[in-house]
Amino acid sequence: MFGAFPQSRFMPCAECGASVERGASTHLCEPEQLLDFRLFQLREEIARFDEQFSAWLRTARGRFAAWVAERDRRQQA
Amino acid sequence: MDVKEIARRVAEDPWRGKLDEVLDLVADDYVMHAPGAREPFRGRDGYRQFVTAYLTGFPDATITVDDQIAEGDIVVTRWTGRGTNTGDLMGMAATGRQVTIEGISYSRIADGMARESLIIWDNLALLQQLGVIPETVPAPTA
Repeated sequence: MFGAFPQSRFMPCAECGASVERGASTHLCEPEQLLDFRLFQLREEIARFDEQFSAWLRTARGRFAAWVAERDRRQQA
Repeated sequence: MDVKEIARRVAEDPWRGKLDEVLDLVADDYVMHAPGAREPFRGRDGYRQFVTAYLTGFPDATITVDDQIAEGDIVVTRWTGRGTNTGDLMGMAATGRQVTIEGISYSRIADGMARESLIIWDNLALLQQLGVIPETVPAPTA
C-alpha cells in the first residue's frame, strides 16, 4: 500500500537528540543541546559517581582531603 | 468564544501550564477516544489523566494548532506536538530524545464546552522517534 515501511517525517539527531525533519538539508547540533543530551544519556553514571564521591568524602581519607582543599582555598584567598 | 477557539484552547493550553484553566472548557460528560487506549477517557478526570501521562514523559511538551475547520458544533483541528522525552512514558524509560508528532482532533463542542473528541496521531512515528521500534524495516524478499 505504501510501497515501503512508513517512515517518520521527523527523527531525532543521533548526536544531540534534536528533532530533525527528514530530508532537511542541514542540521548543525547546538552545543547546549548536545551537552544536555549527552549528560542525559550519562545521568545514571553521574548519579552513581556523585553517590560514590559523597561516600568517599565521608571516609577518613576523604575528610582529610576536604580539609586540605579548604585550607589551600583559604590560603589562596 | 467560538467553537474553533474552544477547540484550540483545549488542544494547546494544557501544555502551557494551564491545565486547570482548560478544565473549565471540558464538560463533565466529556469523552475522549485516543488510539491505543482500551477505554475512552471520560470527564475532566479522564482528560487530566491523559494530559498528565504525556506531560510525565514530555515535561516540555507543546501542541501547536496548524489548521482548523468548523461546521456546526464539529471542529477538526490539525496540530503538531513537540517535546523532549525526559520522563518515563507509560512504563518506557526516558530517552532524552526530542520528538515531533502530527495529529488531528475531531471534536464536538456544545454550550461552550468540549463534549467529545476523537484524537488521531502518528503513533508509529512517535515510537520510531523514541527508538522503541525500528526506523525502517527491510523489504521482504521473494
